Amino acid sequence: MKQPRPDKRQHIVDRDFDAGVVITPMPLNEDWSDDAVNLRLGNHFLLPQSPPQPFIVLDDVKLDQTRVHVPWGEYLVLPPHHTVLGSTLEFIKLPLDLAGQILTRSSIARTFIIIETAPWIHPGYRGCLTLEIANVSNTPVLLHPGIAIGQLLLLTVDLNDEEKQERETLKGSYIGPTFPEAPTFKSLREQLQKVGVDHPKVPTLPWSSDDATAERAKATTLAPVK
Amino acid sequence: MNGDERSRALLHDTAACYRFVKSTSAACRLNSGFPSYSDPTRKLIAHIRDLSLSTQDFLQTFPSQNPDDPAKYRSKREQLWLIRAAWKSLHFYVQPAVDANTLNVPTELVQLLTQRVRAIDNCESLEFAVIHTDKLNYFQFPPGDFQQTVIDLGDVVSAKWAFPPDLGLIALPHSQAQHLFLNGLLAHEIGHFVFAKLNCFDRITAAISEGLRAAFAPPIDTALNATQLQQFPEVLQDWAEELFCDLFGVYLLGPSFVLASIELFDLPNILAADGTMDARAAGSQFKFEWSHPARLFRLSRQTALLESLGWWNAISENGSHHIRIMDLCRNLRQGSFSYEEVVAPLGSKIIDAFFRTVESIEAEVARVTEKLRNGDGRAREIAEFVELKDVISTYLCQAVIPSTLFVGNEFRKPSAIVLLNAAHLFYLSGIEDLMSNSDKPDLSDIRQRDIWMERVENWTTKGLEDIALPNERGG
Repeated sequence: MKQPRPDKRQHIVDRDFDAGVVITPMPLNEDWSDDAVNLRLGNHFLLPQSPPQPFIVLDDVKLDQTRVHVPWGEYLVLPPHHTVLGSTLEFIKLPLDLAGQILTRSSIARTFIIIETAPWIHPGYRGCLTLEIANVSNTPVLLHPGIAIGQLLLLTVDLNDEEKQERETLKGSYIGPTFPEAPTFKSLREQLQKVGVDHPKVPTLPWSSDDATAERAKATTLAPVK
Repeated sequence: MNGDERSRALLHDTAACYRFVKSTSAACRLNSGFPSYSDPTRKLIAHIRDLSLSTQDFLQTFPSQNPDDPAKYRSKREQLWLIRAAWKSLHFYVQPAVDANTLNVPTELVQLLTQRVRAIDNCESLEFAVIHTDKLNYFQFPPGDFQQTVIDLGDVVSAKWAFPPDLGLIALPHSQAQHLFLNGLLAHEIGHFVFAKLNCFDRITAAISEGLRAAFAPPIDTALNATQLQQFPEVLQDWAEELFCDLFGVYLLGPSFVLASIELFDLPNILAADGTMDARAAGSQFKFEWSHPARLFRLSRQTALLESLGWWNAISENGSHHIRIMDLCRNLRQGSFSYEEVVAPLGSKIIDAFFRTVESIEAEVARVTEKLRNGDGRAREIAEFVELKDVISTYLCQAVIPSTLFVGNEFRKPSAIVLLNAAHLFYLSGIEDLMSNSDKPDLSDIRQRDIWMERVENWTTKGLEDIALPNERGG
């Protein structure tokens, strides 16, 4: 793979719709450099909630998260060592021969804010990019929507026709999101059955009267430990 | 009761009133955190909070003014009663306003509507606080109701508050906050505010009188009692205002408003299996009610306006059954409609009187919205729609927000009205194409349809938000 070197925005956008990149709203000229384009922070966030049980099971259950909207000019306070899901203001669509990577802008990174832990964007992706924002500093940080927070790099990929055809269909867990969405997981049991585990262990909570937790614990009931 | 007893009773009831006011307004917190509110809603909440604080201050000193005079005791009681009555009225607004934070109101659409309305003379500073209602309907709170409550309260507590005169209060069903396209009906409610603000009624009252005179000539049956006679103009006034607001909505939003009306009125139900009008199913839709004209009449006038504005030719080729319904309503005759809340011959006469008034109402809406149309602005809007609607559909069909289009080797930012209308038509006729592009193309799967329909509304909402951003490139 090699990085394209767009001299200007038109270089990667100026193709027909299927083959071109879409970035909207279109970043200003000053946000484009030879090898990357700046992306801005959007207005919506998902605040993690403390789960009813003292752990998260990566199972096919929706995590309880609270969505908030931060209007222009206002801010979200991210306390030290806290995390929040945000998203880019820009919605992007990648063609089938380009993948992307989103990185924290260097100046942002120097405040010990990390915006992305799953930075790879597959060819054919479309949507606002969900940002896993973490404040790993010892100081609260104010997040104002609209600030340039990340940069998008585009990389060419070679797909054969069959792979391209497969990627032409809209699929995946997150198609066209416009604000951060809570994660979705496949069934833990189904995932682990593929490696020969029929009864994945999950701690049971004898003190919990929560029906859903009890139900899930029952569903994933574990073989007695021998 | 002796003086002490009166004093203690008054102290107790003042404290109870204080608690009532305090708890009624307790939800009116406007910290800088969340939830966040649009400026107009924030103004409304802040206003109620200020009223509450002033009322509480007043009540704090109220008992110390307690006279021994039994006659003045009665006056004190009256004051407490009035304060409670005012706060019973204000109670109605608090939770619906507090619930209407920016996540639960179509903020971008309201901003678009506000921006359009402000192009009208004397409406330059209008703003609208959209609050919730538990009714499955949209309505506008006549500003006078709230203002009068505030004035009454101010008279008691010796304070003068000025409720912002250009702040309209509009309610939308709490369950429909995320449904962008249906919420186009807010344009109708904004029409009510404009109708009152610009005294539009004064300009059509003569036409109503003339319509009644002409329809009821030769002289009205003398057997009619005075009450019935008095009601006729009132009924026509209500119908006239509703028609004004419908047409105002069309001027504000174009076809999208009409499509939303079809949805709210459940008009797809009138379609027979062969695509004609099912006379039985449509029967009730031809009936005028005391407060509203018949739904099919309203749709026919909305469609006629779209035709005269040039929109109809731009949308009539769309394959949606909503367009078919509009087409079926284009040539409905006066004789199709009935008003059955009065004895038979009178109903048709009242409808006749109203039909004689329609032209004046339409002229009044056109006059009011003249600036909005801004010379050839409307023609340009329609030309842009014709040029970009297919491009917008292509973007949506590929799950891409159509706020920056690449057309003819250049970037184009569509106008908000063009985006809204093209996306609304796609929502009605293009979902299957979108689903066919997905890995779950089962068109009979209602859950999947729901997901994609929601996506299209989200993309359109985001597109409107993008377009509203200043200093964006494109076009």
